[in-house]
Amino acid sequence: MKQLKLVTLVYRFLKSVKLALILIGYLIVVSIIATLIPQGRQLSYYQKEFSPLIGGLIIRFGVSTFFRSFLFLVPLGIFFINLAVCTVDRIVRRFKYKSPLRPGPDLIHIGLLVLMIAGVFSLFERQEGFTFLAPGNMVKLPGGYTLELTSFTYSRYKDGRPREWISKVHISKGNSPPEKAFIEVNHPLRLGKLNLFQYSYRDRSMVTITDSSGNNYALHPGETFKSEKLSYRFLRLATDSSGLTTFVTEKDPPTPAAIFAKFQKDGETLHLRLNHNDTLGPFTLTKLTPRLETGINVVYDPGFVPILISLILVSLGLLLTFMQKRKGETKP
Amino acid sequence: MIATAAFLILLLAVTIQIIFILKQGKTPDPFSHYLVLAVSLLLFALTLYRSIAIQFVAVTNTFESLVFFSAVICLLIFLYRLKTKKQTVPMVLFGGTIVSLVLLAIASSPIAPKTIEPPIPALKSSWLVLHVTFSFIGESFFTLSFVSAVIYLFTKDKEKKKKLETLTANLIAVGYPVFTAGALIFGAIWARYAWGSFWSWDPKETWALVTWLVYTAYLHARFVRRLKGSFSALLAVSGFLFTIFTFFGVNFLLSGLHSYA
Ligand code: HEM
Repeated sequence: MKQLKLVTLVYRFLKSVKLALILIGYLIVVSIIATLIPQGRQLSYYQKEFSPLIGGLIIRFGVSTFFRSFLFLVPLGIFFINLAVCTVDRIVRRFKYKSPLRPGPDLIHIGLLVLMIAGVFSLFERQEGFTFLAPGNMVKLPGGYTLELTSFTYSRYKDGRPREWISKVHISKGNSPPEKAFIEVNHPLRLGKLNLFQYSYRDRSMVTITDSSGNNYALHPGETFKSEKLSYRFLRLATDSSGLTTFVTEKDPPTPAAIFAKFQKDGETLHLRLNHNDTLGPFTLTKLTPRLETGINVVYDPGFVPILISLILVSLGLLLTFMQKRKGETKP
Repeated sequence: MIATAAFLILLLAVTIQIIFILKQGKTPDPFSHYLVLAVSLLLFALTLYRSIAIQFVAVTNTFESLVFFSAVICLLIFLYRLKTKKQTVPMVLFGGTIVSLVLLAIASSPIAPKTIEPPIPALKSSWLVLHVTFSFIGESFFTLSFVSAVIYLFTKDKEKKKKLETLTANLIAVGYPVFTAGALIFGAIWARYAWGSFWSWDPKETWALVTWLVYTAYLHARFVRRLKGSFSALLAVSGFLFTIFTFFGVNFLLSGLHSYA
């Protein structure tokens, strides 16, 4: 008898809105703290940046990856149980006592339960791989696909801000002829169960400068060298007239120019635009080799569809709740 | 130019409201809400003008967001006044107009550059447009609920308190689904297309989630547990403070994906 009472008490506790409010309060407070502590750094960072006590606590309780720590996941688990018990209890009761239907909140709650399950599923099942490709490079992908980058375009607005990154690719599978496709920011390419995202880029261009004795020096973007007490930095290769707006590499690129920064003695910086055979101090520009690489993120996430379904359920639930409330609205 | 004109008209509206409140305070003035509507229309026109200039919906930087946010708040103030007629609480009009005025003042300050610039690649997405517009429409309802909750906390008159309590609850009940759709659902879908994952616990995302949880707590306290007193009003007030911190604080104090500098 006493045992039964305990079970009832635990059940009541687990379905109570009061518990939900307490857990929501907890999640709010700890999430805020987590945004104040930089996430995902090396442990030595926390030892260095915080006092020994706080740094020690951060490391001990896994706050550096807070949203994967037990301080977050255990209360979230209890919240999940709370929500599940509460939702099932309401549905069962409704059938038992034939009380009026209010499907909106139930749909929201069920949607959230599905979302949490799908989120955890995605956390464990999701796989991703990242690769840099230059035009002409090929990569084999799971599912038997071969991806070849045919060209990569990076263009900027006149003020230097990025305008677009576009990877043109050829996709082939088995013996089928290659198909043309594009991968752009906000327009990922779907290949069966894979999604390919335009994620990053890197400039691997090179210029070679040669001194009067015939010695060659290779420079990559960002590298600086000194000559006659002045320093120069190789910034990038450019194919347009201003040298600042567009950078395109195709298989057969238009003749590029090299953009250098020249740091003057008075602290000013001058931008120089040099072509093949131009001189820079005692050096001559002997070779310009454009190479801009695209960064493609390949994602396999079987949680995608379940997450989308859960979001649709939540949206429908919100809509129904709203519509029902409007009917019985009390005017202010 | 247009934003300055809007600011000045709003200032005039506030002045009229203050005079009427000081005079007797019971009934709303017959005129200021038309000025507020004019401001709303001017700000929407500004959004349209900038959208044509950048060939994209102009809600992609701080200035444009503030203009859109103020425009929606002003429209809501006007609709509230129209719907409630003689039942209008003049202080709600006044409080809402003041918030709009402050937002426009911030928009005209140097922290919100006004240059007309087309968006960077990550922002060129219809999901982003839905994300931003729905979030701000939801937040505009939260703004007025904040105003009415604050007045509730400072009011002694029982009848008026009841009116304000219902108003706060109704505003949140409408703002919540719109905000949820915009900030969380459309935001997550946009993130999925732009970066490949729905959620990445970026500080801005976390703060938006916290804001949403505060309003979720409000709904359960108010509509499920039927708590109608100061506790619910304080939740409504803090929800708005979280909204504002998510908008400004995260951009300027915490860094993450959403700071596009
Ligand atoms: C993040 C989690 C949750 C969200 C987003 C959520 C959302 C909602 C919403 C939007 C409503 C409708 C409120 C209204 O009338 O306007 C609602 C109602 C309700 N929720 Fe939740 N909820 C959550 C968690 C929970 C939990 C854990 C419980 C139970 C312990 C719970 C119990 C209820 C109950 C009993 C109702 C009233 C339903 C009715 O009026 O028929 N909720 N919820």
